[in-house]
Amino acid sequence: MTLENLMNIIIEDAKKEAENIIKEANKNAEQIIEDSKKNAITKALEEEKILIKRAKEEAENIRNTILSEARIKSSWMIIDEKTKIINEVIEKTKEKLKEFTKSKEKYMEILSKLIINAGSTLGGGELEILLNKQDLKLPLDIKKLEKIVEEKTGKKTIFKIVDEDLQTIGGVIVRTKDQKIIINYTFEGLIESHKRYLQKEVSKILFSE
Amino acid sequence: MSQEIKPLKKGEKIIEPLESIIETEKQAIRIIEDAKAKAKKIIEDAKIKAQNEYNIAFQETISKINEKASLIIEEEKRKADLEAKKIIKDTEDKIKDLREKASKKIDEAIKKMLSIILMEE
Repeated sequence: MTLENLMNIIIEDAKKEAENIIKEANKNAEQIIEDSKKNAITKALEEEKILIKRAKEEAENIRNTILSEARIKSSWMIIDEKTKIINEVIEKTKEKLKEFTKSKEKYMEILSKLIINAGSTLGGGELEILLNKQDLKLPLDIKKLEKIVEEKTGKKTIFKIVDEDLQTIGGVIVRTKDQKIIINYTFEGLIESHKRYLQKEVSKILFSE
Repeated sequence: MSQEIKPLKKGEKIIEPLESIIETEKQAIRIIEDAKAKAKKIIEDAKIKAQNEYNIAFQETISKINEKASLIIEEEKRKADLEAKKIIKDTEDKIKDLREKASKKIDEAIKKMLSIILMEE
């Protein structure tokens, strides 16, 4: 073996070893990258349970919100409809009352009853009666009404009819002379003051099974 | 190295060849050291790349999971919307029925209202 051969062999061996070192390094590098990817996926999958659990909770909340809103809307739709129907009944009742005011005798009877009732509630005395233009023309027996109230209250009673152009479909306003106490027995006033009771009673009829 | 090493001939120089061999050995060591350095660099680069790959793989997997989560939410929302629509539709039917039944009792209700207003009760 020549010296040159020996030197070539040394260099070749070194190159082979170097090549092996690089090959091994590349192999390790690939493994490092591969392991890293696997670790990343494993770590991410560990998060999956938490993320999916959160998503399910969020989905449940969204579902509850949507259904609650629908149920609330449903309740309001029914309340709205019932209110509409009751209001229709009130409007129709007003029309009936308007018609009723044309039945002179029966209406006068009711009007007298309302005046007596209001007069008695006010405890008699000097009282003022307010009627609409049409009712001012009715032949009310004021003296008789005064007497009845006197009997009920034990106090001398004087009714004075006042023309203040009362805007109402019917009924009466009775007030003390000093106008400190007013009883509104117009039909609109009666409807308004009895509204809750009327709604309750009418609902029982309209909406009971 | 199975090749035969020939004995030195008379007058043949010994130092120079040894020096050459030593120099060659040094060169061989340098080659290996270079390779080791390259290998070290390869591993270092791989570690950096691995970190990037980790981030990419993690993000990709998380994205897929988030997509799955979004689908769960969307599906539940879709189902709930359908149920809500049904609730409203049922209510509309109920309202129709309510009005139909109430319309048959309106006269009775007006009568009741009149009796209260006219203080007949």
